[in-house]
Amino acid sequence: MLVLGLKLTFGEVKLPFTEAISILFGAEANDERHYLIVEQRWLRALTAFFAGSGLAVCGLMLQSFFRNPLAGPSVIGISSGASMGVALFYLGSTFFGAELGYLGEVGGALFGASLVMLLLFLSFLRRSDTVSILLVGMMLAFVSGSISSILIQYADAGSVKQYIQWGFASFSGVEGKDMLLFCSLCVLPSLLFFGLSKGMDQWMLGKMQAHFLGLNTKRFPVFVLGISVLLSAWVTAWCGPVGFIGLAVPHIVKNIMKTRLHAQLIPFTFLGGGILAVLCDWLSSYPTPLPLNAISSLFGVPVIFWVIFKNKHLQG
Amino acid sequence: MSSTLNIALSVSYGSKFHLEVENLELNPGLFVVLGANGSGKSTFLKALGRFIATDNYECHFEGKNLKGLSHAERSQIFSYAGARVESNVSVKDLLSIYQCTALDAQLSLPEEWMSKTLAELSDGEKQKVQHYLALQNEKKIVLLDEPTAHLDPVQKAAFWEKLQAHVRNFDKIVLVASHDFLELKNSQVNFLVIREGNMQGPFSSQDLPGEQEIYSA
Repeated sequence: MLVLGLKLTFGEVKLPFTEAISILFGAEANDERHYLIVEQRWLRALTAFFAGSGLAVCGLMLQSFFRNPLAGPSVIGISSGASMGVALFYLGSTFFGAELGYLGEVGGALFGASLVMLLLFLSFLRRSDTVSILLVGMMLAFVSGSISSILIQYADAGSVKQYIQWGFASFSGVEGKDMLLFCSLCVLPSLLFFGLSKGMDQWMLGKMQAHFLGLNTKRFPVFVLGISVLLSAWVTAWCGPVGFIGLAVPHIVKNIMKTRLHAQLIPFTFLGGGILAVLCDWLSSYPTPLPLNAISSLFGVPVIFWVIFKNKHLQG
Repeated sequence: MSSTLNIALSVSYGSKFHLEVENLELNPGLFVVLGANGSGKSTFLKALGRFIATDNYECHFEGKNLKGLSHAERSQIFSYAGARVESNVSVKDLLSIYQCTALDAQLSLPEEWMSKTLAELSDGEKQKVQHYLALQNEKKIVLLDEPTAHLDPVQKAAFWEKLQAHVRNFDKIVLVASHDFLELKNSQVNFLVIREGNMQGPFSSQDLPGEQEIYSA
């Protein structure tokens, strides 16, 4: 809340903290200020918070699921898969001239992300070690990347521009009328994940341990990967491929909390992801506008280095 | 209710491996499963606990058909330790995930291990944590796969002694896949022997076949 409030206060036009808050809660203000606070900063901060929290929770679950500390929607190709789907959608809209609005992007992202996740899971069934999963994920990311760039060659100039803009990632794409839907579909999957906490505690110990602790080891992966695809594709469709938040936040939280029990980790990862995303967004918009992914990488990459050098064995 | 475990099962991998267990009847006690490497000791434990697919599975315990149980119901009966748990989970978290109860005062872990992760413990220490996780609960059938692989001779002797006391005190059926033939030859445990794809026994230490006979392939 404090971070969200600060976000409202600072920007190219400075407003006192209390004034920003009171305008938000309906105090009289001139139109320009009202627009700035409510339409721009507040909506963008909300988008950033819920997108960041969704990505972070998704990252936590993927790390535990693949027993791999470097798993995260942006690293193992899910975001790239979603991008490929979105490229496909832009190409489609060139050919068919259809105006699908956000449904097209969401559909495309879901399709691409599911495809990558399916391939990733099939390879996980054959080889489950840390390095293999990372390599397979990165290769899938490369392939989706090249397919995207091939597809986009055939799209018209307007679509290409739209696609490139989308690819920069930003939290400014959700309008007021879609905000409730956007937030609910970030929160709902996170709640579902919270419901799987106990199962994930068992799963991360290994398949055999999980089996003897009473987990249905055939059904569980379907739930986890299904929800991950929904959540990461949803966020990616609206905000573009946001990097590193899903990867970095779970590590920061795990290290502060000194536990691996998901019922405790998930709420704080949700909160931490939201806060970091709002911070990144703020830094990327003030004092000068910068690409969001440039800022989130600056946060994320040091965390990855720290994970690599801290652990003797790379484990989720 | 009788706590008898009746086992009839068979497992095969292609044409190379076949394990047949016919009408084995076990009452609470300690059963050490012996056999050459690759004879199917671990396979037997995994098949009994329904972790791997079986060709045939007719097992009953306390009047219940183990085949029809849900995952949750089965986990209330079986406890397992064996596969390496190599991870950054702290011992304290593990005790909570396994819902351990301090059933047996003989088995305890040093307090200073609680905040450590498994990765920070030695192999022998990890194994002690595994014994704790498998035994400190009310589950009636315990499957232990090579529980002494990383213990020195003194630790091994202490483990077998504590395990025998645990089985006596808590009326469990404990099945242990092990190579500790020489260590146990003169003790009061029961033995099962897998030879040429067939489960034989139970034997007492007096009528246990000789080393050559058990381990000849």
